[in-house]
Amino acid sequence: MPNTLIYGRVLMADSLGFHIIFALLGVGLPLIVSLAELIGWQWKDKDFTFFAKRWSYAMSVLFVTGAISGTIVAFELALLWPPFMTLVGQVVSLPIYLEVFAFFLEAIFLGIYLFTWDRFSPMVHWLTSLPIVLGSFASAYLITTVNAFMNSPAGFALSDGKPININPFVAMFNQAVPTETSHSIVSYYLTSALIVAALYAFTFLRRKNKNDAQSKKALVFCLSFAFVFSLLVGLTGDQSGQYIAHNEPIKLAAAEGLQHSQAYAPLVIFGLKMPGMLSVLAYHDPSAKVEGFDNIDPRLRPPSFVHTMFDSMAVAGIIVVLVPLVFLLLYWRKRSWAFSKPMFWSIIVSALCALFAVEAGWMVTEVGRQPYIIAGVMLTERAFTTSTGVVEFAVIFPVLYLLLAIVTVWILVRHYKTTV
Amino acid sequence: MNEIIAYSIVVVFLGIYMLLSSIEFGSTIFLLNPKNDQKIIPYIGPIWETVNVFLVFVFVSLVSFFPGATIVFSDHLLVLIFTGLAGMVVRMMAMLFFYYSAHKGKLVRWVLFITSYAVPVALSQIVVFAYLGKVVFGPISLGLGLFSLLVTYALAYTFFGMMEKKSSSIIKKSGLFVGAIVLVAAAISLFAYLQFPYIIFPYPTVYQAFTDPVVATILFGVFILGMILVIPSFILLFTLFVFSPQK
Repeated sequence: MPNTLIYGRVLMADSLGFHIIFALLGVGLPLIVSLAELIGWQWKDKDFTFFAKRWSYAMSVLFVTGAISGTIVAFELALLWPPFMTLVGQVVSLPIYLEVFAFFLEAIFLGIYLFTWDRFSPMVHWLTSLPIVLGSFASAYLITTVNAFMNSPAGFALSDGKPININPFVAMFNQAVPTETSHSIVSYYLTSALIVAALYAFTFLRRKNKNDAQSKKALVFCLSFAFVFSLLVGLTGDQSGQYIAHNEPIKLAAAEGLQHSQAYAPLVIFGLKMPGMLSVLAYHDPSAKVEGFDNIDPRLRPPSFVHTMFDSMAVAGIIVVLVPLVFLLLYWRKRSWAFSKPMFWSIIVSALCALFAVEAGWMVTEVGRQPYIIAGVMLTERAFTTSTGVVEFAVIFPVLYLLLAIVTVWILVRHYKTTV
Repeated sequence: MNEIIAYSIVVVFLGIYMLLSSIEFGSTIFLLNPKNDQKIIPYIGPIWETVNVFLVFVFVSLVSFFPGATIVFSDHLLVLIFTGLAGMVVRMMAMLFFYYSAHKGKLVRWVLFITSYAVPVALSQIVVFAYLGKVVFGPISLGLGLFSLLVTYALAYTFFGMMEKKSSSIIKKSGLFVGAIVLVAAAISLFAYLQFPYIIFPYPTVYQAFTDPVVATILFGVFILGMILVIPSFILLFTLFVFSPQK
């Protein structure tokens, strides 16, 4: 159904774009909370215990919203794209199945964690945070291996359109996995820390020079955490770029907007041209030839806004590395500037950049794979349902997501405004 | 043989989900009266997200073990399932308000109650489809809808009645009523089980829709390992909150 396909795409994209926001916080916040609780317990620092308690409310509310949107995504994957799910279900169901168990553990221990602050000793209570951290990490890792499979299918052969010689382990640990999982997960930790820092920065801006030592501690903690992960994001980003250059050349050409295959390929970011830099980044060799669109069938060419998204992600990436770095340097050398208005605004901007970069990055890898839903194996248009009703739900669900976002934010704001 | 095991896993967990969600969904009628809050919130608060995971587990199991059935679900049940899901989203928003904020006003309680009872009615239509091969609205579907309402209410009533020590007389009085409904619920589960080998009559049988045998064996391994981790955690959760609830 070519004319309803676009509605299916829009619905899926909207659902995924919405879900990733809450899923990333569901991965990042547990580690931040657990770390804060650990510091509070081990260093007997009441402020950190307070942080863990205070932030765990947001952690659980956001988990719920992430769980709702995730449930919808799971159903949509199967119901909007049944031929795709049939193949995926046969070949790479292993990580999907494992993920449900990780999700179970997360949900169970989140319930336990929230309601046993006063029932358990500090050590035991902190231990209950570990399954949440591990469960959320595992969920992210496992689901991303399935996406990696879509970008780099492995572990099966096709006979008459049906998969044979299936090896789920090869499928699950395909070659896109190391870079995709590492780069995305570290970005979730970074983004979560920046968002928490930005919220504290916002309260400083609203309070107009009130000297709050506890909030300053929170800011330093979050930005130190963010700094470490910003470096990892940069490192894994470079590795991802190299991986894509070697294994998904069409996606690289799309991301870089490279028309002509060439050695000494230039890096072009928003019109700014850096000669030879693309070859250097992709192959660590300026004389290396980078594949452009000239050797590619035009029907297999992804949309050109992939290039804009990639450039946006890269620029945002520079900001999210610089801001924590500058903050920490100022904190070390000229503390009053670290808690100044321009710095607070920069922190807020960096959090927005991080969030935007996550969305842009996912767009690059997903839209950059089009027209395929499984690279080289299945076209998106061949994977679509024949059911009616997609158009209506392509309107209904986004409206529901908007409502859900408003409700979530409203509940969080009300809670934090009315409690200490 | 593999198919029977996989089918059993799906049906058993569907049954567990129906039991737990009926209690959770059913409790919302009692929550219309704020006086019941303290009897219900300590039980439902810590566990309702875990209950939702069961639903995901059932669906993921179905798709993982019977990938061939996905096309049938999509072609014929997309509208029904998406409608149920949309209802679930609205319900979850009400749950967020009720269990995570101080806002427990009349509107929230009513939205919670209506969605909690409407969604099972909508989803029970899947049973009609499973038996007739098409979605038909008529006496049978209406009956099924009403039945699902009753089951939901009855199980919730039974559960909270059991938790309250002084209501033993009420339990005795309505015991027959509740008992009958639970029996019929069990009968439906059995009926679902006896639909084997069809997942959705008369579309693919479980044999046709089943996944590769090697993959299935690995998935069974995952299931066993997963249960070793999840079941003790689940028992821990229920021991902490259901059998000795927090105030």
